[in-house]
Amino acid sequence: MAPHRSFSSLLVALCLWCCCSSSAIAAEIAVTVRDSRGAPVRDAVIYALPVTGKAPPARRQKVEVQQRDQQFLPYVSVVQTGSAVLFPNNDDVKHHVYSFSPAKKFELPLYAGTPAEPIVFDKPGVVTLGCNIHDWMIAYVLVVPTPWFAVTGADGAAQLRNLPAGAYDIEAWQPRLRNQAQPPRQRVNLPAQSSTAFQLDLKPEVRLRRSPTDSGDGYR
Amino acid sequence: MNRLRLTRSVAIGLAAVLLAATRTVSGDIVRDFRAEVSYDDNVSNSDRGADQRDDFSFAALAHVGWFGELARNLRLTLTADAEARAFTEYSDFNHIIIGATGSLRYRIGLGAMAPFVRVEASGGYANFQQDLQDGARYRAGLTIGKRVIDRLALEGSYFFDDIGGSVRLFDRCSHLLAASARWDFSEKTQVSFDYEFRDGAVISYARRPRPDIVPLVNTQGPVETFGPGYEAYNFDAVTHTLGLGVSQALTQSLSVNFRYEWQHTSRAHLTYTGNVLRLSARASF
Repeated sequence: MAPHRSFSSLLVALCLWCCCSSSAIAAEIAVTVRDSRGAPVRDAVIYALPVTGKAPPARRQKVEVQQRDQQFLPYVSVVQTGSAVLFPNNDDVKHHVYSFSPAKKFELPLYAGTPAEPIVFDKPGVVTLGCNIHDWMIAYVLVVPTPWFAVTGADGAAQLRNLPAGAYDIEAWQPRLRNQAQPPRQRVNLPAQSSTAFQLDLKPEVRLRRSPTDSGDGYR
Repeated sequence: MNRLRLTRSVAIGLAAVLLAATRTVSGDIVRDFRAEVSYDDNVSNSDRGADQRDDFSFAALAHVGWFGELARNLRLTLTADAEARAFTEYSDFNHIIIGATGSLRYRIGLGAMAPFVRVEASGGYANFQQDLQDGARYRAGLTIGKRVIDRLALEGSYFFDDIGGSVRLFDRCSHLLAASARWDFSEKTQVSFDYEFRDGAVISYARRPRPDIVPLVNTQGPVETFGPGYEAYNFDAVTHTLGLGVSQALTQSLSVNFRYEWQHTSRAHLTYTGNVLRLSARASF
């Protein structure tokens, strides 16, 4: 009689899990980002904020912003609030990485190799990175309060994966976004909706020039 | 001869500092090269149209050295400099200059937007095809600059120039004040505008007789660079130069540059103007 009872209990538990755990089903959504002329936008960050406001805490993951050939790689990164980021220098010259951004002010004075301690990004927001030695070096880290994010490639496409079913506000951000204070937002219901698209109003790109000029070399 | 000794001393001193600095502080290598063709419609600096001569010149310039951080905001740059220039018509001006430059740049803050002050000194020796012009040359000065917005950078500078010849006729000292603005249309295209005020000795060539110039001169002498009957006059004057440049990046380390200069020199009743066009390719590694 005992085995029969335990089988019934297992069956009931299975039914309960099936009924109650629809929110645990992993969903995904494809996002495309285009500019106002319809061209694909690369390096746009897409992230999903649960409408309930409850997102899991940051997972321990290895995040790096490298310096290679006197450029930051990648140009745009995204991390969850509380994440630690390493800044390995793969060049044979020293770099002096800094940020003045309110979301994270820090400085890694002249160094080679990989600093022993990572930088912890503990506030959401945009962090602009620079190098005090090589003025043309610039990169961005977007710190978001959610683990569900992605960065678009050259085709302007990104995929958000492993989201529990539910309602989300999906936001899109890019360094050239004209209205940095209010990234465009769309509400979606997962898994009912499997794709969405953004059209971003972008400023022209102005990055400091690396190529030599005829009219002075201010950075030296 | 004293100038030559001084130049050698400066070069040896700079080399010693360079070696010492590179041993103690790691930094970046400077390898800047430029090839240029230019046209000057008044290479003779003449005030009368009949005396004016124009010419094209071709030049190759190299600056090789090192820059590194001595402190958080302080950068030292040391380079060895070389320039070779050849004129198509008036070969007396053909020359080779070997020299060295040292500069210290202090940034008030961090990053590209921080204002900076740079002090700079250079010395070299010029060897001309016309031996009379051979001599040491020195330049020292200060530049202040600030990138006002992402696209716009402003600079102002003062320099003192001392150019020596093997005869006094070619000795020139001048004070120079300059202001420049650079505007980045894009990451690849930059436009610059600059103004320069120079107060100091110039050399103007004119056919004799010029009794009107004689009272102004520091020194004068017959020089046949532009043909028989020409006299070179060394006198103090004020020169205003307006420059407009466009620079187009081809790669991260290569650019083509076009520059136009309008020069206006005057002293009392004597005035001459010049127009200079320069087309150059620059490479920096």
